[in-house]
Amino acid sequence: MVNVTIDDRAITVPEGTLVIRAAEQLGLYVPRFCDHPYLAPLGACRQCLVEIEGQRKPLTSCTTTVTEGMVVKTQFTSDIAAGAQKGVLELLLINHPLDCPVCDKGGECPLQDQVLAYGPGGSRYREPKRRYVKPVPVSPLVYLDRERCVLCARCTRFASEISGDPFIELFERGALEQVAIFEDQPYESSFSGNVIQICPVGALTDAEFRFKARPFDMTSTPSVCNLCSSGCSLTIQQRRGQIVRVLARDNPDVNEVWTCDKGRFGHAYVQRPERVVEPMIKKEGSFVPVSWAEAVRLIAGRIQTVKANGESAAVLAGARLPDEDAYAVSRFARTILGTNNVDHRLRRGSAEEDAVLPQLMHAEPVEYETLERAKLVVVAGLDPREESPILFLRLRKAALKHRVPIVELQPRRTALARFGARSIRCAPGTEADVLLAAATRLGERGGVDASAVKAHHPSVSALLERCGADADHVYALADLLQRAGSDAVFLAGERLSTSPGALAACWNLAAGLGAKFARVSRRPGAAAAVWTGLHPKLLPGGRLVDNDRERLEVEAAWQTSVPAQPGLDGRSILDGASRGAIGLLYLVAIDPAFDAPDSSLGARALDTSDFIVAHDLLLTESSRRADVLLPAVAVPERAGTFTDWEIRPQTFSPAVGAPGLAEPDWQILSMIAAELGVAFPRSLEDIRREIRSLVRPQGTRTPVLVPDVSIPKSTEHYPFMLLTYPLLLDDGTMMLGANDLMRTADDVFVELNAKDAERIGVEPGESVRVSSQHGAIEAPLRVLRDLPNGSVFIPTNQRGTRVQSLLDSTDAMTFVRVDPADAGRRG
Amino acid sequence: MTEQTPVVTGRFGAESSDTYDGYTRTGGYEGLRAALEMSPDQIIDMVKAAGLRGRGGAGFPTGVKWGFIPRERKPTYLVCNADEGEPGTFKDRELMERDPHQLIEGIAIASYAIEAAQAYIYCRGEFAFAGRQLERAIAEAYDQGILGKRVAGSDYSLDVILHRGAGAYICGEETALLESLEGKRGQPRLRPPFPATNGLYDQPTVVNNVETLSTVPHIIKNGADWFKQWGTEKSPGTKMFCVSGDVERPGNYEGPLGMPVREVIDGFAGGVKGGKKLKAFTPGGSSTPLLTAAHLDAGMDFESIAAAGSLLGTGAIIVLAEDACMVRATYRFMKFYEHESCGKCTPCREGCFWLSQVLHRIENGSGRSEDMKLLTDVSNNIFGRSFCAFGDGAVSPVLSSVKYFADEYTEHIAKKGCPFER
Repeated sequence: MVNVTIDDRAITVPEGTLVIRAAEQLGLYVPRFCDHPYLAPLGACRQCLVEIEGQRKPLTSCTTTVTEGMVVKTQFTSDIAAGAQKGVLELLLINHPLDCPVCDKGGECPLQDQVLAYGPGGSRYREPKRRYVKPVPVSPLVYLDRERCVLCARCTRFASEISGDPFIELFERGALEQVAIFEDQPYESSFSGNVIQICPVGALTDAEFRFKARPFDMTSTPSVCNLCSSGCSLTIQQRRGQIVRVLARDNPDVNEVWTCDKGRFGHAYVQRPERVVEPMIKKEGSFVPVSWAEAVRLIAGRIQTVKANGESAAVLAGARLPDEDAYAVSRFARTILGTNNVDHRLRRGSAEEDAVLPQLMHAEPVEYETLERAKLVVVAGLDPREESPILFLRLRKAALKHRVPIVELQPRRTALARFGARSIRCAPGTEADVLLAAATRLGERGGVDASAVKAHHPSVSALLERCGADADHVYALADLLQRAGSDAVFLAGERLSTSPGALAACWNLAAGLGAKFARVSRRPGAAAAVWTGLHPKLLPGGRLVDNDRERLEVEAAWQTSVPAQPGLDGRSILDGASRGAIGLLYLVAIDPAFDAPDSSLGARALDTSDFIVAHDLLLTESSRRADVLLPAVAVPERAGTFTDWEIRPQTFSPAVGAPGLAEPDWQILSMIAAELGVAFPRSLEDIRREIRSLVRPQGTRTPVLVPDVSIPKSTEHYPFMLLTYPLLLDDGTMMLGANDLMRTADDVFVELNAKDAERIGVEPGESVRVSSQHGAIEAPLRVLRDLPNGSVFIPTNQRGTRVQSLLDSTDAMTFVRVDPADAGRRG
Repeated sequence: MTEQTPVVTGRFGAESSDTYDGYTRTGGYEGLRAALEMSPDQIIDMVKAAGLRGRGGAGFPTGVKWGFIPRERKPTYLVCNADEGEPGTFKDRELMERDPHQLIEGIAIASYAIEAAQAYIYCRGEFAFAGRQLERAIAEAYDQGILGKRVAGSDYSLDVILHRGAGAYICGEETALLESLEGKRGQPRLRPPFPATNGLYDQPTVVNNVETLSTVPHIIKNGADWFKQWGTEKSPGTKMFCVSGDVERPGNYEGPLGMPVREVIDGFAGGVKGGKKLKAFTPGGSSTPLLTAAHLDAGMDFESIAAAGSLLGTGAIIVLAEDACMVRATYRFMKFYEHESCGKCTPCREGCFWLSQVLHRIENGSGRSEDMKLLTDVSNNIFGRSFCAFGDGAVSPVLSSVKYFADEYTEHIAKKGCPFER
């Protein structure tokens, strides 16, 4: 610790603290433009000059670290500091336009504030100001006004230091220095909106927000992002009931001060005219608006009929529900519908997933900060930049600033490799082999508990041969794991659950090392979906349906009985529905007809269902097939909690009013319960109280059985293994109306390595036809250097075409063939 | 006419002094061979004892700089700053053109002293001929076993890489030079950390000027005491003086540090052109405050020039005769700084831009009575406030010309134009 005196006040701060931060701790604000707490010190704008005793000239407080006994005088007590700051301010203004009245930044502009407080009434500068063409779009989302720019380089430093997309740079020099993009390379970044937010003046403006509102005309509400599981803290700003801007909110524990472009610009769906705003009943094939009372009465009646006839009911609920709503759905299924047929997945569950999921909430939590202190982070079955962008930023920081080794294990090299993560690439579906090979190697050296390695697995060499991973890489991973021991962190993507044995192998390896483990899903409510029991075998708190003691605890809390038989998983519910075996299909915030990983199962299941109730925001492929469609409120219109991938709950309250008659999902369920005269929570507080009593971490981690998988082999006719997952900006329903954002999205593409592309005889950019037993799609080819041989990647739900038509979720693997698109025509 | 004291310029004019043969015929590479028999620390001690001070402008003791290099962190780098861009300065160019092997020898000795296996010459891009000379000389040195594996038959290996700048004065500032050498935008770095610990590619690095390194072989060959026979106690040795402007014989001259300015101008350069009187001169290039005829007896060494109110800088004397317009001269200087300011920090970027316009206006008849205060205020807002020393240098001509020639400014403003003939 170091003792310093600032403006005659003493303070003790840690060594290495910058003077400007020490001053902040005393409540002394030294004006600054280039300084930013999350960017490296620069000292370029010179606005923060202070007087330091013993120095012959004023120093920038943003670059000077404290030393023992230092005596600092800021503008409040030093004429030299005040004079220097005034001088810099005068120089900053000579070329700055006086357009505050029409500038987006007006009202929240540090330059404006500074001039108001300390600036002169007029300027001594009489010459013509620097003029530029303006605004210049640097991307579809960001507009640049170079005349307003103070050249603080926050934007360019963000791009190079934080996001690693250095496509926005300073060009020219002297008074002509300016921010620009390269002529031949667009500014492409999933994080571009941050440069707008950290711009200290109105130079970088938001393409959508430009000229929409003044900061002082808006009402701000703290919120939490619901577009992935990163858990970004946001501020939603509305004017006259319209969301006009979304900002990242400071949260050092989670998103620091950043958010991704999807989270910032992807909220247009909330206020689209397409929103479902009143309850509707299907009559003679079309929807007719009805009152809530009528809709609820109809549903209640149907529930009674189904139960009386002994028909089965089933619930599918999206993993985008807030915690309270997820809990309410779980409870509704069990206590109102009397069924465990409830799932948040549209695919098959597996024994290994069933074994791992209930343990997740009892594992020692992994937090963002944990990653910076880890000795090794293993990322498996997860593409963080596409699936959890803020996690990507934190991993980048861990790697670059704290030199944490990162190893990714996936078929496709991701953006992690750009900052030095080692990539272990394996054929899609063989992740388990890599993990078991590393574990076996580690076991041989006594580096891991033997229980992590099951006797019936083949030898290391056999495993390596099957997955095609580079042996050196796998051995290097084993070495790193041995060195890191319990300081290793495993980040397992939800996709790992669909690769046979991989989740179990990963879990066991972590358990064997005593290392931390986190499951990272794409959707914001995925963690809560598991621990609230949106799962056919799990009750709230990770309790097992078929464990009498655990079930009884839940029954006691709910004061009613819960079926003891595990229910159907998502895939089985759809199968059942498609056979007409489900009397009541209840959909909450889910779109099986669009999202089910099957050619047409989702649509078929819905078309053959007797009676479908759906809660939704919009008319989707599924909700338009409902018999009763109920308007739900969007996240910015409701109160609730999201638990991010770290298992960190964050609550939020409504930022704008709900349209029409829309209600929160839990409230809709509560209305139905009331109609039926069954006990059910009547308020958000009731639900939160129940959650608190039922969901408490307990127990310890135990290894699970790694299934002895025999991975199917490709055939001559279908020689390629298909890997597919959605990119950050996919063609999802919630991207409705986010037009500028979607201009930055990729169209669909098919990725092969160069060798395979050559073998098929297609050049990048040419169209290929990908076909499986279930269907076919066409899309242009891209070449990714080190995709494993015989593997093909297609983003799941990209504009242009949908991969779902190639899939059947009963298959462990999907095999496809890839041909030139014009092969047939060439004849 | 005063006799020169040729040390680094000793081979100027000699036959084929720029070739390996010509160089070795006149004792070339003997310093290197001697150095390779010594330990790195012995070399550093010798350079320290000689009191050699950097010839790039700041005058930092060279041996001390070498001594800062930590021995335990490898690789270390030697970088030769050959980005000579200071207006009025042209000594390094001639050294590289006429005696490139002398520089290579100095680089090899310095690199050996700091245990660097890699050295870079950052040569001003506009120096096309100097660049070609160096390129050729480096190739010769490799062929002759002076560079590459086993330097001059020793166990020491050294690679020298020539890099040409892309035309920015700021890249002569050592940290901007390092940025540029790394392929980045040429803008100065925050200090600390200093290049001695975090230089090129974040490794310990010595950055030395061409003239400094060219002096080193002579010190090793002849000893510290030999070197100290010239100059003053604190500024020992000889120095090249670049004389330009209104003089009879502009050019490079080498003499002992501490010799009077008058002798450099009159004795070396033949006096002010046409027998006119001297009005002003820069002692060390355009970035050093102007001095006047009253300072002609000052010694050309770091201490005496500082006592006279300026800086020795690169020893570049730009002479302005009695009929020169100081406003126009200052404007020309400022136009250069406006053009070369890198843009990183506000005071220098905006201030030079502003000063240049004000000076232009005064010279062209639109001066206002408040302009002299404005020039002083803006200069003072740059001086000591900018990111690097560029800003201090840029306002030197303004502050010094306003100090000594205020009446010329007043006359311009009063008469609404320049009173001097163009």
